[in-house]
Amino acid sequence: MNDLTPPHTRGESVFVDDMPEPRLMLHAAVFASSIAHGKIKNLDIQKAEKCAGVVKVLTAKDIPGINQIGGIIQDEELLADEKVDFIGQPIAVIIAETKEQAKQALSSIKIDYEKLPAIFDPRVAAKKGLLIAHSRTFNLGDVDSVWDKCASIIKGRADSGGQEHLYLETQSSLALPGENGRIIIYSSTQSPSRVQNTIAQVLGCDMNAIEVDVKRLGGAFGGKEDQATPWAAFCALGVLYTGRPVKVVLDRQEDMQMTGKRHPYSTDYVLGLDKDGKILALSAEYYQNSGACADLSTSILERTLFHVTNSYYIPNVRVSAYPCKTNLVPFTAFRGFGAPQGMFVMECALSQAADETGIPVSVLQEKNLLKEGDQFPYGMKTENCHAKRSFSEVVQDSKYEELKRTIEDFNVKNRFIKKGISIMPICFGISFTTTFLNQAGALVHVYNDGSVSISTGAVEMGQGVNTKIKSIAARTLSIKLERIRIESTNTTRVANTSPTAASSGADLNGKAVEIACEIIIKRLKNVASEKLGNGIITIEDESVYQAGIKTEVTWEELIMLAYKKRVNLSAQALYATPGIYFDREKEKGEPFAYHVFGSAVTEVTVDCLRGTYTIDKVHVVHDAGKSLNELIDIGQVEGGLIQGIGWMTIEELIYDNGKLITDNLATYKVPDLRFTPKINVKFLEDADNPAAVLQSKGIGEPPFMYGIGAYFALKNAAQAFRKDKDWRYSAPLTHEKLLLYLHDMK
Amino acid sequence: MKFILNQKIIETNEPLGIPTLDFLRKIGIKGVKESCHEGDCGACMVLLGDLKDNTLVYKATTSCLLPLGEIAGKHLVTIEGLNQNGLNPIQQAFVDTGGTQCGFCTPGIIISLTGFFINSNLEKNDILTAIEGNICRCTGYASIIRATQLLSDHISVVKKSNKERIPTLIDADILPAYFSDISEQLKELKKVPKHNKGTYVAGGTDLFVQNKTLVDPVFLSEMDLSGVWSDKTHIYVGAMTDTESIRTSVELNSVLNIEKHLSKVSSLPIRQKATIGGNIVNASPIGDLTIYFLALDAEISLKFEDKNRIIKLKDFFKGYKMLDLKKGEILEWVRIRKEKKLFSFEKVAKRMHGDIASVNSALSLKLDNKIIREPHLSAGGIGPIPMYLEKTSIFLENKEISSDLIKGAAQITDKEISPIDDVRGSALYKRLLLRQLIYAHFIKLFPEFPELEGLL
Repeated sequence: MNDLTPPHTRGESVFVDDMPEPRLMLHAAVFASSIAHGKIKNLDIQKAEKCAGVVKVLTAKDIPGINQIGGIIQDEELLADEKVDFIGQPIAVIIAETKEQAKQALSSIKIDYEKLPAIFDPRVAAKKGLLIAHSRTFNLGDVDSVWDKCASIIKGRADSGGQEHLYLETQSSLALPGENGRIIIYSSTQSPSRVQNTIAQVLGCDMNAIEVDVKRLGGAFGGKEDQATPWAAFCALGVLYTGRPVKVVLDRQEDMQMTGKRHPYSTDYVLGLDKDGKILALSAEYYQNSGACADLSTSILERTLFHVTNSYYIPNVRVSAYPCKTNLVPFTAFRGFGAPQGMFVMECALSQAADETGIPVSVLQEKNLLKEGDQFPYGMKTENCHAKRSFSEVVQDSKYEELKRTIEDFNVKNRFIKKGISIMPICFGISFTTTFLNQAGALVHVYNDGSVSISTGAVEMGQGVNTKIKSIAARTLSIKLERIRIESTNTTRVANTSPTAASSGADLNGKAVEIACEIIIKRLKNVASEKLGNGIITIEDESVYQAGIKTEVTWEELIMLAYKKRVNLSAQALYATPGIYFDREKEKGEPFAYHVFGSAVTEVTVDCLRGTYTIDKVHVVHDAGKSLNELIDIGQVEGGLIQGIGWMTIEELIYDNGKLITDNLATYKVPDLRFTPKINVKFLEDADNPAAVLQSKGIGEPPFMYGIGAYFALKNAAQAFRKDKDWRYSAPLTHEKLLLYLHDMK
Repeated sequence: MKFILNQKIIETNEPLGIPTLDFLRKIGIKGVKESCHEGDCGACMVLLGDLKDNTLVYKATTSCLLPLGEIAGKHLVTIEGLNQNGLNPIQQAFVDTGGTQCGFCTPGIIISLTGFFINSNLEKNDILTAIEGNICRCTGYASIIRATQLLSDHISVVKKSNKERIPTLIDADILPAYFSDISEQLKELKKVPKHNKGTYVAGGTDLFVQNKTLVDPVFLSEMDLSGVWSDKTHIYVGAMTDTESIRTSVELNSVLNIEKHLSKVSSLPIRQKATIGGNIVNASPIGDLTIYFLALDAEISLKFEDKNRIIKLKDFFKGYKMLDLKKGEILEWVRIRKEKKLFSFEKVAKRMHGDIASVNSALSLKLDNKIIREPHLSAGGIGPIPMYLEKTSIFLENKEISSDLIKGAAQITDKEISPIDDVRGSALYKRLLLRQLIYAHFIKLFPEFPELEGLL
């Protein structure tokens, strides 16, 4: 059971906007750029300041510290000062007595721009040398020397679109004034310390003045890793100037206009294969549409490079990636963090290779799967590799060969309804690729009645990390779950937290909790030894055992005893993933603690008359290590899969001269209940993972990439209708793109 | 005005045109969540109970599109009003299956499912229909579907007749005991005073997307304008009849397969609210019901005081959002001839359920020994108004059916329409799609002519 479900189902779980509103609270509304690129000639806030209810209008000039929120590269102003680089860029913030008054006053701000030419296409930006940072190249073997040996060389282009996170809870933040310059922030963020650190810089104060508290998020998916920060900073500035609590909750349209999304990519690739379909070489250039500022783009770009070969071994690789600066909202983290974009390209190249060589794509895939000890382009070798195993199990469990025959038969008999099928293997590295981020802290208190309070750096956003942490603590302390409470994530209890991201929340924080609990257990065992005398002490099911025999000392008694002996019943611990490193000069290293493997078979039906489709069924065999909680992990696989399918099919961001026109739920369509296929998830057995807590594996991101299979199943079905036309590898494969492939307007 | 919120009578002087969602959150009812504020996500779902012929009827509805004035004299139920000691069976099912992750959408889904149990019209296999208007971004719905499967054990409760329904649901712990007194309490609540100057509100499912708040709403729901009835020659649909009532109308289903045709039109909570009159008068070029009734050669009655005039629906639209509607006139009803014709409705959107069409189209005709008679073709999304394709319809009249004829018709259509590039697709796509939908009408209606497959 997910620990959170009872309050969730009763509507009693408190999100930022649900907190009881403090007395005298003010509301903030954000005034943003309406042009994609230009100079601010004149910003006039005088009229807005006089509007009913307005208490303060904040502009760049009001920032006492540094007007800068760039986390990796300092290239993003909190409030635009002289220049704007994208539509939706914050320029001013109105703080008023009510939300309505704050919003009403927005139209009273007068601004004059001098427009500058804007660029939206990453390839155009690259050509002009407009990059967020330098490009990166990964090399393995010698690509140039093998082209001559290739029986076929596949050249192509692949494009994948951006994706809106559409967390149901929009960006929200509430700041309260405390004593002595303290500001307390309740933020819907994945990165409490990042919010704390940025606000301290913006305000020009020490980090210890800023307390950030996070109870839970109403979904995030990466969208609140970096992009939750500005809203919290506006509230903090508001507190500074008014001395009153300030809240901002974006409405849906504002959120979609002003916050970053998954990066669109455009890629050129060359794949070389021998006559049997063994891949000899991959060469590719990835143009990442980074948007106007760096945000997390450089790390995302790096992860794209880590995953260019997906689940395959390729002996010769040369791949370069370019973070291209355009005049769109800075794109940001989203489940998969650049890996899906890289893996999509790999599958495009294989699919095209199948079309050109006549070798079935599933044969090409299987032939090239990673095996134990194979090397990735970044130098690391596979360990406990389950690529072949998960592939063959999904082929077997889904009865792939039989299905394929049935589908071929069906397609012969039906004129305009065609079915399609695909296999999608995945391989995903777990760890932040920025090595120092792989650390987590935990603070465990045992109260003298035996109940336990746990604080960590992990943020609960629906992924069940609190439930997992609770079960790790219960197992380590050998007590009932009911005794344990997981506290909010708070920077005064756990400092310097890494974002809850990179599928590592439970891995890192769970391990820190395990260490802290072990420290307490060790102390308790000493207390028990002192009382009971010789014999090995163990604690099991809330009782003390001596030399394997149950004593009369219970957990509660042991705790009281320890308390009276003045033994420390609190422990703090830090976990730092051992053995990982990455050398960015050489572009080699062992950046990941381990890899996650898996495979999915996707079945679809295409209505070739109307250009519409259904995703019918997905069969997944996933490597979850030894799952910490199967109910939660199955939910992560299913949820990630559907998001991935959405990215590949119906979710389409459309811009009109840099303005997002799919900025609400009526125009940006995410999967609904009727869109969802039948899903069958199986976890690999005997896949214990020694590299993570209790033999488990991170699960947040990898299943997203099973969704890529939907694209190729649809292609498979569409090509059963016609194959005389070149396939354009462009995702999402909307009804529009599909119909325009299937038919020509003569 | 007064209404019952969960088990408490509330009296408020707040403006009647503000969204109920905003009002509820302002007074501290936080189980109702705001996410999209336009009826597309279901996070703000509430149950609205009203006495109809002395029977208490509840519907799940999105409180963001529900103006305060519409809840006067009614029973409004939020998740807070369903909570009892411990979890009820619906809540427990979500716990058991992991049907909630971040929890933001969950209260709305619990409300929708409660609506399913209260609502007598739904059959067992329709339990998913009850939650098709709820978006969840975390679970991928699989665990939610499993929760509904667990709940099917409780379905036997639903089979009880309407009058026994609430007591049986109280016995099954799905509803708290206070529901048994609501009926009596509602009888004593006074309805809101009527007024007649201001903006007319029909279902409000588009109006309140465009305007979050209306200063001067006039609720047409208080006029007697809903229902489906017929005389010897025609079937009439009152302007305030909601889409779900139209879809399930016995009268209409006797001549049309409308139940199936409209199943993909929006989601249940919106269908129960959106009216045919609103759809027509809103004059959206893509309104599903308008396109549907255009191809039925419908007529409409426009009423001013005691007089009315009857015109063809196709003559009502004069230009983008311009209508043949005189000041003070109200659309009273829509009527179609009471006869069986071959009829086809096609709709393609970005997402096939709960979405606005990229292009929709409808066709009615009779076939008299391979000769097409009385054809009426309509299409939406391809011009500034919901279009009756006059030239194509005339072209098809009295011709022998063949794939060449249909290809010719599609070419005429292509000259009749003027689609633009927009958020629902490029102009090229819309032209191609409409051609395909015209082909689809014929291929679907005439399986006995395999020759039509030559259209592909």
